[in-house]
Amino acid sequence: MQNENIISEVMKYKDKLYRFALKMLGNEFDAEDVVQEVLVKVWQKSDQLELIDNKQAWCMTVTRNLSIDKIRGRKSTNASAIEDYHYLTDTKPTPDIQTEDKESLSIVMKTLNSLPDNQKEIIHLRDIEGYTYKEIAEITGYSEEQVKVNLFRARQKLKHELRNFTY
Amino acid sequence: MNTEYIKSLLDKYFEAQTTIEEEKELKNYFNSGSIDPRFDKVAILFKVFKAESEIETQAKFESPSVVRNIEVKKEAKVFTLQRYLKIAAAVIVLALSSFLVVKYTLNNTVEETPKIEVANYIEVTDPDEAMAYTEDALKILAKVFNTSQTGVDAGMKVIDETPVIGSRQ
Repeated sequence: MQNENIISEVMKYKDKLYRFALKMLGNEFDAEDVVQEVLVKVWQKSDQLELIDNKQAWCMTVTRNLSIDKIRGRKSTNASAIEDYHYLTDTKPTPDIQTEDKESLSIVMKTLNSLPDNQKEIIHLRDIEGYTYKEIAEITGYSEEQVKVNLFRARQKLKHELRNFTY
Repeated sequence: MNTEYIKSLLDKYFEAQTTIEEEKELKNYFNSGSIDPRFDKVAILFKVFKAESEIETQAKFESPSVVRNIEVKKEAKVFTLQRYLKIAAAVIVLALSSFLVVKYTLNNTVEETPKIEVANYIEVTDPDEAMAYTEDALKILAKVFNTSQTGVDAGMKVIDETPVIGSRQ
């Protein structure tokens, strides 16, 4: 019963886990596999999870670790290095956004996709999921200072690439 | 909303100086539908963020208890198969070795070892008779030694007749 309660709680933010896995893996099926594995881990570790304050951050960390494991698995089968693996591939469809300015949308997407993986990960956690620096540090294992520096660099790159977007 | 305020927030945003609350204000503004035209282009960035934050999975996840049961059953199946394979392998090895032993036994019937004639020991109690036996034995021995002596003498003769290199004759 205790396990079922924790699973119900985790299921409330399954979409967050899915989006994070999708961002890292760029593949819907793999992302769903990862979320399923996270649920199994939660079930197995429910006793320990009871003692954790931020269960969501813990689940995000597990999602991240399992996604990295999957990327490493691909590395051994496809011989594509983890460093070379881009979370958001060019083949991934552009989000459905109501805009007539397709050119500007293309620039934004291209710029976001060209960020280094660690910056892309931090931009995702901050700008899409709205986590604090402390939570991002907890999820990624970086220090808060590293999180701030990487976020600064990522946004500076965005600012530079979108310099024609004067306001 | 005051456009100058939005501009100042954007400046702070790109310097990574905004708080979570200020970023929420920016997101709300750019997704509100009433944006100052000067922000039209930069608004796209925040629209992308919003679109990505709304992605949902359509997958129906199995209850972990079900998944775990499936995994346990899979493990059990593998274990059973392995056990059967081991038993089968053991039976094959036993049958093969039994077959080979039987075949070897039939093809290589060991011939009866000839009986070794063992000398008949005679217990001699009379000293004279014992002496006679001893003399006979020594005669046989002497005969053998004589032969050896001849061989040595012949060998020595050959050595004596062999010229030594560098020696004076």
